[in-house]
Amino acid sequence: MSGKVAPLIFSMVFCVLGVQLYAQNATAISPLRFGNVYPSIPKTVSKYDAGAAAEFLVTGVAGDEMSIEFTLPTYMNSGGNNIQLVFSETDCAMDSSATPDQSNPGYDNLDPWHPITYRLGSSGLTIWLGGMAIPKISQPSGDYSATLVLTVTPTGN
Amino acid sequence: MPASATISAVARVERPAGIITFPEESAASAEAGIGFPFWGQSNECLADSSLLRIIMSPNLNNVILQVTSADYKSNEFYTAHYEPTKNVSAFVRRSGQVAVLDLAFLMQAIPPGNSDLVITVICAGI
Repeated sequence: MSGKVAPLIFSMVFCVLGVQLYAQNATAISPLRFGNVYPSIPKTVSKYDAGAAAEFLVTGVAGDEMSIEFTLPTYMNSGGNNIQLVFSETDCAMDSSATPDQSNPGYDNLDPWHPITYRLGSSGLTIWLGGMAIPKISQPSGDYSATLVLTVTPTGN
Repeated sequence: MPASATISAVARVERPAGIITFPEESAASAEAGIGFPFWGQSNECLADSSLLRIIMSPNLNNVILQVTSADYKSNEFYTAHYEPTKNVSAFVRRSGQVAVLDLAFLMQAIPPGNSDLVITVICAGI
């Protein structure tokens, strides 16, 4: 069997079985950067803040509907110390247009604590996330970090 | 199949270079030049004040910040509420015979280029 025939047969089998192939991909573009924070002074990063807000890019077939879900941390850590993290019900925004606009996203004020359903555009889907860090008065100095996970699942619609 | 991406949330905590101690016996004003962004430091003030007045200058039109601690107990922190600058906080702590003031200034209103700022701290005992 030649190398060209095998993929063709593979695709035909899926067509016959009625299985739709999704090729979505999620990419981390930019971390959520709070920069310097000071003990006792909460710091908020807006989802509109380019370079500071977290940014993801989801790619795949235009028009495919995706369920987007975050796994959010409640603290950033540095050794045994932590800083509380707060994500509000409007801290997420998305844009599936050909030229995503972070300052005026097409799909705004989204709740990152719950799955969000949206369709991919021709350039995929860009997702931004803001948040707030709340250091304590006694917060030790140091570099703090936490991990955010974005999971994208095709809905089949 | 789901696809996932992992990203980080990052921050750096900066703390003041030192703390301010207030001798019991004196009431005084003090000035300290500090950089930006900065933590303010000053010195000698009255330990047993229930009213602490902070005057900041220049370039801020002599913004007056007042920190009131009505119920001053040992080893407790008091959050300052002040006007008109909201990005400033001050906490007064009393430990043994020494009152300690941590001043946290995050003055986003400072015009670019004003890298130096003089802080005058005046404590007024009541």
